[in-house]
Amino acid sequence: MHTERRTQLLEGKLPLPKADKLASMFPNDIDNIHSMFKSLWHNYVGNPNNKLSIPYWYDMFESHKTFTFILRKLSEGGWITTNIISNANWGDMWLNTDKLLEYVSQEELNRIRAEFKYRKYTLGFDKSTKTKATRQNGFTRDTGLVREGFAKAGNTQFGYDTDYIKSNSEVINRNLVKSMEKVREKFPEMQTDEASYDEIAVGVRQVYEDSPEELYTMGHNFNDSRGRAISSCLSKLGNPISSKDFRALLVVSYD
Amino acid sequence: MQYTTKAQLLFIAELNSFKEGSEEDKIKFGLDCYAEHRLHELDLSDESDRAEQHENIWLSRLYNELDSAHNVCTALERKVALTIETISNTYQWSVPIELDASASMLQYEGALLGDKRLLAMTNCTTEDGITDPWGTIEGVPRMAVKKRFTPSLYGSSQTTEELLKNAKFTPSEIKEYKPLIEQEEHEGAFGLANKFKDFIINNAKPRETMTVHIWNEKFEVQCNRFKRIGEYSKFYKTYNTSTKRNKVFKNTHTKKVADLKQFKRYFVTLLVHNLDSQIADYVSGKLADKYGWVIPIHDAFIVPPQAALDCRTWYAEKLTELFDNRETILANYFKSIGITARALKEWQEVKSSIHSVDMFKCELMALK
Repeated sequence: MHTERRTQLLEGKLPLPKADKLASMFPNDIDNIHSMFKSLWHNYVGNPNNKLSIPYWYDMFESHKTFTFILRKLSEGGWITTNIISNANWGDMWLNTDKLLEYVSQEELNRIRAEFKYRKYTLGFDKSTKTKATRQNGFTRDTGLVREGFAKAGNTQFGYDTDYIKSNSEVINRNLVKSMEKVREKFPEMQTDEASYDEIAVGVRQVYEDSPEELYTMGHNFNDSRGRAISSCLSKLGNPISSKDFRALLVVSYD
Repeated sequence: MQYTTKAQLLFIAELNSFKEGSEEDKIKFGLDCYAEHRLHELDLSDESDRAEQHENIWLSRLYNELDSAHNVCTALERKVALTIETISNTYQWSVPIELDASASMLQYEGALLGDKRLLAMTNCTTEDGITDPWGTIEGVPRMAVKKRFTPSLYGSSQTTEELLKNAKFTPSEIKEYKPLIEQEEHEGAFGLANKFKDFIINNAKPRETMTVHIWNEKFEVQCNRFKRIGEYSKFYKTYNTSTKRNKVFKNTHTKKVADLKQFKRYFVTLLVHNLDSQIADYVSGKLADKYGWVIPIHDAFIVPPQAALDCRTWYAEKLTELFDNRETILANYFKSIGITARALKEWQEVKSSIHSVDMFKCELMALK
């Protein structure tokens, strides 16, 4: 388990501990448990001093008993610290660096954070399977809308023309920095990220430029409340939907 | 000329800002642009010009791929090569093209209402050639028409003055355009679309959670507009690490209730966006099955050039099907959002503004 977790961490991933057991114990809240732990990790990578709001996650869970149980178990396992300040009417939680250092060195952790910073905003090669996931008022649920065509489109494999990325790097960088403002509005955790937008934009563009053979997909599709597509790739920089520069750089893959 | 080549040239023409003329004119314009490797003249130190650079990137990549596939390098060779076809139909192009609906809101309303003006201006019928939907009010620049009508067709209650002022038109320009826009509102196709919007907003009876019926789908929607009516405190009891015990704290929240009046404005885009998403989903699925490659962007599709004919055909077939079933679609929708026979008189008024089309079979240029 130690080696497996170390390998996962070196790849920038931190899966929920004892996920299978928790899934069988709390089937109704397992998605929330995964989301909360993922948020703890993503926030940590952005900045180890980042904290998550306890009221927010408490309200997200179907069972408050489950929520408290999870906080206690993660806390007792050394993964997180919860801090409730009754006088200030507030409570928050964060991931513990000491726990991570049981698996990787500080130097490795710094490198993971630096790489993750770019990977988080870079397109991946994710499989799309969701057809009934509809986002409404901040929640995802099945409202009766089914979008099988959009799910299939999420598996379209595409590349980018890296020669043109290189020859248009200055314009692409400047347009990306501008577009990051929009991404930031949608994903507030970016607001506390220490790295500057310019640095991330240049870094992400460089990742694409340095990967001429790389293929990407848009990944899962979510429906908006009317049925239109909201691709998961919208949270990535240089996605072909919101970035017209990258749309113009698309390469059709016939693999 | 095979359709794949036509599709590439149509897209080249689109990127080079072709607005009006026949399909043949557009293809010819695309061929001229390709032969000359025509690009936009941009000042990349200017932000608005930088926002257009993607068109030059796309054009340049298309030109290079066509040159390479046809093994040509002069303007004359390019024209000859594309006119006397030499490329196999199964050639796997690497640069995709984008097929985009012309003002899809108007296109869907045209099909739902069976209005020949809306169908013509959105290129679902092209007897009078390909048109620019925003360039149809004489004496008013297309940007003013677009900035005036897009928000209001989507449910905005802002006035012409407010919308044009937001779009940075000067007071004298607003004074000049306003009467022409008002005339269009009363008598024109935009006016019909506006009346249709108003009819839905005025007569919908929303509930906080409700099931709506649009064409082939029944699904649940929830009110997405809320009013703040004060604050409330909530107690939380959960685990605290330092004391190793559960601890209680109080947190203040804003109290909100559903704003059903504002929610009425949702029902126009609910109808149109749901319809366009049903069609986009259908077309995307077919393209993914046959070509394994499509990137849908609401009312546009990015496809390999060899998929363009199928994409346009399937899209047009579905819009025709929507038109054929329009009365049932509207009746079911109105019923599901609480529009009853009481609104019949107002509905008859909307219908009296329709310039009915007798027969309709959507044309391929509906995706321009």
